[in-house]
Amino acid sequence: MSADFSASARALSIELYRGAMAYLLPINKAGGVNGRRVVIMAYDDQYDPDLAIRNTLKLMDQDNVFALFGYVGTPTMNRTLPLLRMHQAQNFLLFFPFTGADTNRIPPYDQLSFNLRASYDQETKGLVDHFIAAHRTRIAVFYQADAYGRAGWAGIRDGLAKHGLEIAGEATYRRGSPFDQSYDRQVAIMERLRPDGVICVGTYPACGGFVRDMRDKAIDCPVATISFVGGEAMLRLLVAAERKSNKNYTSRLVSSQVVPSHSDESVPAVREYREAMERYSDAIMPPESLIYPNGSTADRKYEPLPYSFVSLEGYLDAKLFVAILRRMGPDPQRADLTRTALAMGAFDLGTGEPLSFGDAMGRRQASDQVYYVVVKDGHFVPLRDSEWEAWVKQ
Amino acid sequence: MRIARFYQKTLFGMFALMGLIVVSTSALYVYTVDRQLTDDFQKSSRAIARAIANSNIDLIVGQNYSALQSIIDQYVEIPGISYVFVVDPKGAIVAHTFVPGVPDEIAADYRDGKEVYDRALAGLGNFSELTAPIVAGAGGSVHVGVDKGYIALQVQTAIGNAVYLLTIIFVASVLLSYGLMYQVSRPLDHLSNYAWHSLSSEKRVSPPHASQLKRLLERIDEVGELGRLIRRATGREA
Repeated sequence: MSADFSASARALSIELYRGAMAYLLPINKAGGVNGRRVVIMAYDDQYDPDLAIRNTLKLMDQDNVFALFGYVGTPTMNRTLPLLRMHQAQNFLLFFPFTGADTNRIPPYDQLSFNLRASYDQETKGLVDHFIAAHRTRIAVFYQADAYGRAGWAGIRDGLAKHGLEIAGEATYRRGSPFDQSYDRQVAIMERLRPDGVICVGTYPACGGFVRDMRDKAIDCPVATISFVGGEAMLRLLVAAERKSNKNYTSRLVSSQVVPSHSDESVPAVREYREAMERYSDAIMPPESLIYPNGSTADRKYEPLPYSFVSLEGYLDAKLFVAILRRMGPDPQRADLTRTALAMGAFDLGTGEPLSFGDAMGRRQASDQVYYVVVKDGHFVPLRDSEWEAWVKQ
Repeated sequence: MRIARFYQKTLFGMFALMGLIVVSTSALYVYTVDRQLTDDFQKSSRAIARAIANSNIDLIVGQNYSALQSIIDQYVEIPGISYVFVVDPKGAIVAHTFVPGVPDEIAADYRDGKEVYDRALAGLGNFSELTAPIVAGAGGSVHVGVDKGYIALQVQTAIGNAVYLLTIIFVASVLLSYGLMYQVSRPLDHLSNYAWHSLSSEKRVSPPHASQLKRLLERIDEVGELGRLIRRATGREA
């Protein structure tokens, strides 16, 4: 696993790791999969594509890992896919990257990975469709100036084009921008555009800072974020900012997610996940050397989230990977991974949603489901289809 | 240190000539380096635009904008390259590196198929924008912006170093020439003093010291001969 454990997107990577470990810990305690323990070898790439390349080479050439798992981020994944292609003879595959970009879903890299989650195109199309149904046709985009932002931007553009519309305008920010930074330049663009809604394709510090500065300038149109933003981490920053300023930064926020709400205990997988997160909360943190490469300080201290969409995704990623491993028997070979995964057919991870790999098209994305949540009393809660009416433009 | 008057004009002439060489060399260097570096930057920027346009046709035509963005992001890490953007066949900007957005000046003028745009972007500076067509323009175009300020800085640095070196050489040459002239003109100075002292009733200069006079009269060159003639003329020869 190569992910940002110490820089601007660390909450995503730490929570994804924690979720996966919450599933793997009891499996390993019970003797592992077919007698083998499943270990995540994690390296920090600080959301930097060059570091991700170095980590990937280390994982493949030095560590000779069984598979690559849970990479976090589009720009990092995009730059590592050519490496996988170069190592194709050794059958390395990337399982369940935490990104919805198309790069690993379309040629030439579509045969090198398996995805559990829906794509950004599906998330953004869903948001666009709902906004338009709510008579919100002037949609602006706030996005990270890199491959991830561009993937979301392209999804929104395509979604609007299906309705005969175009993006009303856009503002970008540099990858790694912190919450405390001013986003006034981006907000000035939005003031000029006067959009009916803004879709954010960024990370939680930047999106949080942008929402704060937008609300400070009294721009109160709905703001949507996609799954990679890290909704809970953004909400935590905004709630803290609200306490300081006595302003409302958390209303009119909607988020698309690719896993069910972690508060929806009617879903069996969510109950299972919550129980594991509670039971192993202390034991599933990544090593300190990974999250504090320069030593732990009070201001850099990471407070884990009890539950989050990201850790639930990590939990489901690990559950599906273990299911594939179980089918491989006591002597799993890397060369058999693709065949085994594609032969999974239809399966259920306990989300109540039928999942599948390997139809006639050689499908490598298990889920197409997109969920929507809104903030209520400082927490994300599911937004039912019928509740979108409240978002209709007056 | 005094230098004989008839050498002073020669010395001044030498200094003027050296100064002229330094100034003209610097001017030629400024012109050549400025043109060369500007040309080099423009050529490499055009090469980058062509490389993006020619080697990523599948990404552009296939609308894989995320992968395309990954590629153009790498080019803005090159010093001097300030921005890159890609235009699709319909004239829409489908990938770019601007923060917080595409500047108004560019949004208003990028579609007329020019090979080079000279840009003055508010708050950002002046840029040379080189373009390359994708599939002869049928697939759109790639635009690469080079920061003219960066080129100017490179030119100034290169020129500054050269002019600094030439100035040091000039000052060293002046000092060396002055020292050599002094060495040449000192015996003449002694001879002149000796002549005044020996042949004139006006004692407006002090005579050379005995050891200086001895060295002067022992010289085998024209100065020594003149000294010996003056001594004979005054009847002081032993």
